[in-house]
This record gives sequence, structure tokens and C-alpha cells, in this order.
Amino acid sequence: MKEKDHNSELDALIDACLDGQLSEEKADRLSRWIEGSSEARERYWQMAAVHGLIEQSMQSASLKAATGQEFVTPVKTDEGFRWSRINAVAAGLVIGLLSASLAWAYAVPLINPSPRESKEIVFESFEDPEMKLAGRFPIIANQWSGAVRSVPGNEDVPAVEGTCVGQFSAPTKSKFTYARYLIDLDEHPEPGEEHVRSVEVEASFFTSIPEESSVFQIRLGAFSQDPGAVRPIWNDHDLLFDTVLGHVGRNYTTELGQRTGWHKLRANIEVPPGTRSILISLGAGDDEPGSTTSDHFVDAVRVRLVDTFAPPPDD
Amino acid sequence: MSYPDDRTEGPDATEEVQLLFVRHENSIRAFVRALQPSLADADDVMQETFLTVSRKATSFEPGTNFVAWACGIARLKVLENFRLKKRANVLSEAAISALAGDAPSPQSLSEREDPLEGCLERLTPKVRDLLWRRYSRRQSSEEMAEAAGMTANAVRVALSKARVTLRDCINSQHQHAR
Repeated sequence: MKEKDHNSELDALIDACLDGQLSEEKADRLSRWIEGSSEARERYWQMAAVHGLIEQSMQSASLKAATGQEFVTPVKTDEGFRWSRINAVAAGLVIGLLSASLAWAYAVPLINPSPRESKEIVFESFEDPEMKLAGRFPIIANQWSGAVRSVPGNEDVPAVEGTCVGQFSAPTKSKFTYARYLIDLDEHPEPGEEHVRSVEVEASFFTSIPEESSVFQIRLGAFSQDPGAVRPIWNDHDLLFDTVLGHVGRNYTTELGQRTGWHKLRANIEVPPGTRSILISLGAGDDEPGSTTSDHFVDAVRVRLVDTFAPPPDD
Repeated sequence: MSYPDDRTEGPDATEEVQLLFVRHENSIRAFVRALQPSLADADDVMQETFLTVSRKATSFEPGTNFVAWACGIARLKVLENFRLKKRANVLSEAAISALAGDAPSPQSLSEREDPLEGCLERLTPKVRDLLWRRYSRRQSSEEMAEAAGMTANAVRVALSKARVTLRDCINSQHQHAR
């Protein structure tokens, strides 16, 4: 009985700590306990694991409930072959069938979601066959740079939007080939009300040989500098990591033998205060450079500016 | 198509470790969150860890345990953050060091993922809603109390009970599976 009380007190202290609810006195008591007892440390890690797992699960549930999609979604093409786009309802059914234990996630009510204003500021489907990308890195806003050219879609590589797609050049010195774009936020005035601004990017990537493993990537960087000053910072890794205000990377490695070649990726960056320029970098490459021969394509690149305002009070 | 005006890309080692970081972000974040329960501080530590991992990319030996290497860096970042934001109501530096020394392997943490969903289903919808508000919307106890028609203290007690229930359920299923 005494040991049970002992453990209950320890559990309560650990839980309060992990929930950010410790008083100074309790923090001292728990610290001494942890410093002197391997059992206390084991119980701490068990409870910490629970906190971490709940957090992952809830955030994943929110994403699915809000969008009905995973971050990486097979894309429907005009050819109608391969996979269909999964809509919100179907996603619930599909995931429910695959893992019934996840089905409850859709029952979580989205009560009074925060109001959002979303504006699409870039859409690129590489329709212009004369499209010339200036250099590998943009030096002005609103212009694509990189090793990508417009090519007509065909039966093997059907366009996601329009009739053309962007084809990445084969990488030479580095693992990835890139297409890059700069946004100048001075061109997009902030709303007057209190809000959080973010930039959402989605793009569809294609590998010509699904039997080989490819890597697709979206990287977003936020800089206080004007667009013309970003290139030298980006190309100097030490300077970049000392200068960048925020940085988000999302990579996706294709699974060998997947039937579909198109994969939609999304990345989102919350715009830090003082940001002037946002760099969008889309990359494609082979998982094992030099050992594969896949061609890589990109299409239907959408960039949205999203302002999220404080939620209305619950009823 | 060539671009003679451009410079060579950065070293491949940086790209490799960034790729590995994104792949193993959940494991690294779980480690950081355990030592640094504050969500905001954990975000700061994750960002700092990513930057340091990128800077030290060439010192990572491919083929060795990336998560262990990254968590070693994350541990130092947690301690740096601890010293920087010295607060009264957090664990002592000695306690954080002792915990980091006894950290379980990422594999043993990930083995507990499977039972979680089944254990969550056993909770009432109201408690699951509280968990969602706390961990996804990051609401305070007071905000949750207002929305759920409870007192803030009742919310804290309900969450605490839910986590203990989940821990016991996960432990039970984990041991049963072994």
C-alpha cells in the first residue's frame, strides 16, 4: 500500500511536469527523485512516451479531419489510370478499413475552427513550352529558376493540370535537381486584425521508373532580406543557418514498385515576424545517386498565403 | 540544359543528414519533448537541433545510428535551452542529464505506438476531445474548461487520469505482445 502511494505521488509529479504544471517546490522534489532513482527515471520515460504518442496521434488526427488527406497523396490524372484522388469521406472509410482503430479520429469535432483567409498567389503547371528558367537560383521575386523545362504530357507521364509538365534535368554534382521561386511579402500586405500568416505549398512529383527509389523534396525558407539578397545566403551553408528566420523541409522517398508515378507533397511554413522573402525550393533526385536512371517531373505547383485569425469564442 | 552562371550546390552530407532528420523527426521530437515538456521550448530545441545537425553534417558517419547521433545533439540543445531560460519550476540540470543518460532507445518508444490507438478508443469521447484540444490545438486548461463546461482543475484531473490510463493500457498490451 505504501509503495502504491509512493508511485502515485511520483506519477502525479511526473505528469504535472510533462504537462507544464509543476510548482517550484514540486520541481525540486521531482528533480531529487529523478537524480537518485533509476526506477523514477524509468517511470518518467514511460509517461513521457505517452505524452509524445498522444501528441503525434492528435496532430495526425487533426490533419486528417481537416483535409481528409495525408501529406502524400496519390494524384488522379486525366488518363484515369492508377489511383483516384481520395476525398475526405473516402479517406475516412479507407483508413477505417485499413485500421479500424483510427476511425474515431474523424468523430473528433472541429469546434469553432479558427477563421482562415487563403489566397492562391502562385500556380504553375509549366504550360509554356518556351519557358526559360533563369539560372539555378532566382534573384528577383515571382520568377522560377532551376533545372526544369516544360515538356508535353503523354500517356506515360500524363499532366496533372493542363497538357504540359515540368521535367527536372538529371542531377550532376548533387543529389537533387531543383526548381526555385521567391515570394516578396512586401507585395502581400498583412491584414489589420491579429493573425498568424503562413505559406502553404503543394506540388505533384512524378518518377518515370517506379521500380527505382526516388526522393522528392519541398523546402521553404523565410528571410528578413529582400529577394535579391537571398541567393548568396542560401549558397553559403554557415551563413544560411545563422541567418534564416525559419526553415521547413519535407522529403518523400517513393516505395519501390508503387503503381502510381505522381505524388502530391505539401509543406507549410508559419511566417516568422520580420520576414520579407520566402524561398520555395522543389527538389527531385534518386535515393541512391548514380545507381538509377529515372526521369523526374513536377506539375500543378500551388502556393497559398494563409492568414489565420483568432477563433471566435465557443458557445 | 546547363547553368554556367550558378555555383555548385552545398555538400551532399548536409542534404543527407537533413533527409535523415526529416525521416526520423518523430523519434527525435519524442526524445526532446520528454526532456523539454514545454511545447514552445521543444519547438525551439528542435529548430536548433536541425540547424546544428546541418552544420555538423560532415561529422556524421553514414551507416551508423542517426537517431542516436541527433539525440546526442538534441540533449545538448535541451541543456543549452535550460540554461538560457533558467526557470524555477522545471527539472534541475542534474535531473535532465540523468534522464538523458537513461533514455530508452527510439525503437522501444516506437514499439508503443501500435497499442496506442486501441487504448485511445477505450476513453470516452469527452476525454478524447480534451486530449485533442490539449495536444493538437494546444489549449490551456482554462480554455478547455470554458469550452467543455468544466472547471480548469477538473480538466487537469481528467487529463492526468487519461494519461495514466493510457500508460497502463499501453504497458499491458506491450507486455502481452512480447
